[in-house]
Amino acid sequence: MPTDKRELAALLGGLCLFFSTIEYLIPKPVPYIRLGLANIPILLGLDLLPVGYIFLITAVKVIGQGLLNGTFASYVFLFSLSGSIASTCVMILAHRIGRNAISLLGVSILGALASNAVQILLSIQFIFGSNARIIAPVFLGFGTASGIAMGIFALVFVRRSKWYQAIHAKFSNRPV
Amino acid sequence: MYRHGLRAVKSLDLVAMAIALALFGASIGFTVDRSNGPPVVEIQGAHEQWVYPLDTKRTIAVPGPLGVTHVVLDGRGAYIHDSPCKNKIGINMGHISTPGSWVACLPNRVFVRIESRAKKEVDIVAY
Amino acid sequence: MRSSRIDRFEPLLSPGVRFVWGTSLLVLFLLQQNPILKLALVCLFAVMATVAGKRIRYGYFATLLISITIFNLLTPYGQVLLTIGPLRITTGALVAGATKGLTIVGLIFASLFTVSRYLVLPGSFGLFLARSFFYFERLYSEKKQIRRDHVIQDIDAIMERVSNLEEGETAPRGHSPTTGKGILIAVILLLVVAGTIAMPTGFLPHLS
Repeated sequence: MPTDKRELAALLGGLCLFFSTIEYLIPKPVPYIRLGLANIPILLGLDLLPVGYIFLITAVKVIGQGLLNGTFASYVFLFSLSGSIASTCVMILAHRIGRNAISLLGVSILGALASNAVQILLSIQFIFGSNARIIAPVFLGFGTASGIAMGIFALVFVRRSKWYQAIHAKFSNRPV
Repeated sequence: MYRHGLRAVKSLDLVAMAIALALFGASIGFTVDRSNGPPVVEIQGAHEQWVYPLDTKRTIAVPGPLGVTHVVLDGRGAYIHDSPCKNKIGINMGHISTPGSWVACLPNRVFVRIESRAKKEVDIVAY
Repeated sequence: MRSSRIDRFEPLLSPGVRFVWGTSLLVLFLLQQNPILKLALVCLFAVMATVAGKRIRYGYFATLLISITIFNLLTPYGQVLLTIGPLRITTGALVAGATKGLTIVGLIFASLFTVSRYLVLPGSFGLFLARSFFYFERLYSEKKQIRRDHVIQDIDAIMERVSNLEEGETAPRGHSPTTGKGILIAVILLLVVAGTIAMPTGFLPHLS
């Protein structure tokens, strides 16, 4: 059991990289679409860690993915960084402001929307030009679907995981 | 105590879902509605065709049976700068900048018009 | 762990030197404007990424390149080569789209051979990242324990095991020194890429 929040954050960061690797192995119908499995540990950490550590986990997710996949020095990294920062900001705000009126499902959906919106804007600016608006529905549709899927997974995990319950009892003063 | 099944879904979750669906619908509407597409300059020569956005700045040399007609795109519209035809009617037609307008050098088979992606209305051309 | 392919740059260049060298190549690549020379550099970078032990999914990158090109074709620019229904394929849009696509793909290839998995970032964040990599490698070693119909249960069990590991340990970071042979290869490749920028392009077909 991690003894302090920094150690827990490092563990969740490692879990982000693990889920990212798992996602890499899943064949995708369209090259640009991502499931967002690596966001699940960030969702799990929202109830457990202060804001600074959540951003630290996000930084591990982005930089670690860049090092693992070798895309650290490319546009992929820029897209990942921007989308992840936007997503984390929105998830934290939704979680903190929504409090007991929003669950990980709603937080995940809003985070996915923020990430996709930023990436669409970057696509328009750097890659596809104004014609990128044509793929905006595809991105937003898949993004919403994956946000719902990841949110449901996180909700079920929180409910069923003995590990999470033990960690939550130690690190969080919020009711589940 | 953990909330089970559908009771785990809270009121703001439904708001988040509604926002997502609204954005998705808006993006489809924005994509489908292309009535305000940017206008383009179309240049038709004897055997070739060119298309440029209206804000382009360049000169296009259009070959024809009489020689080369130079069409200038100045970033606001287009005009025929010079042409080998006898009467220079195309040059005298001046500058065009609005969708539907055109200039031509018919002896050299050069036709320049400005098209938009708006739904085609009745094409009124004044002779 | 993710690839059994050998990284042939690893024994020649230390991770830090490799990162600086690769980034320099990347910058030079961005300065190359001629689409034909850009294509040649992309091919070179693909070879270098393969030498670095990375597997290139050519279908994926071809799809990426084609889709970027097609999106650029939607804004016609230049002489019309072909009309397919409402789509007019123009020279300017085709070249601009292909060049942009090649730039994106080339950057990814360059990144693949630039970044060594043993690259250590400085400072306390570097240490934190190393600790996360330690947990990642422990989790990854248990990947096969996850069954499709017991995903949550199995991940839960793995998390319990991994959570109880020794604190303070980080993932082993191999540090290979930079060799003379490595420097020679790096300089030659730098000169080749820089040379494509300096070389006259009059003999190449003019695309616009």
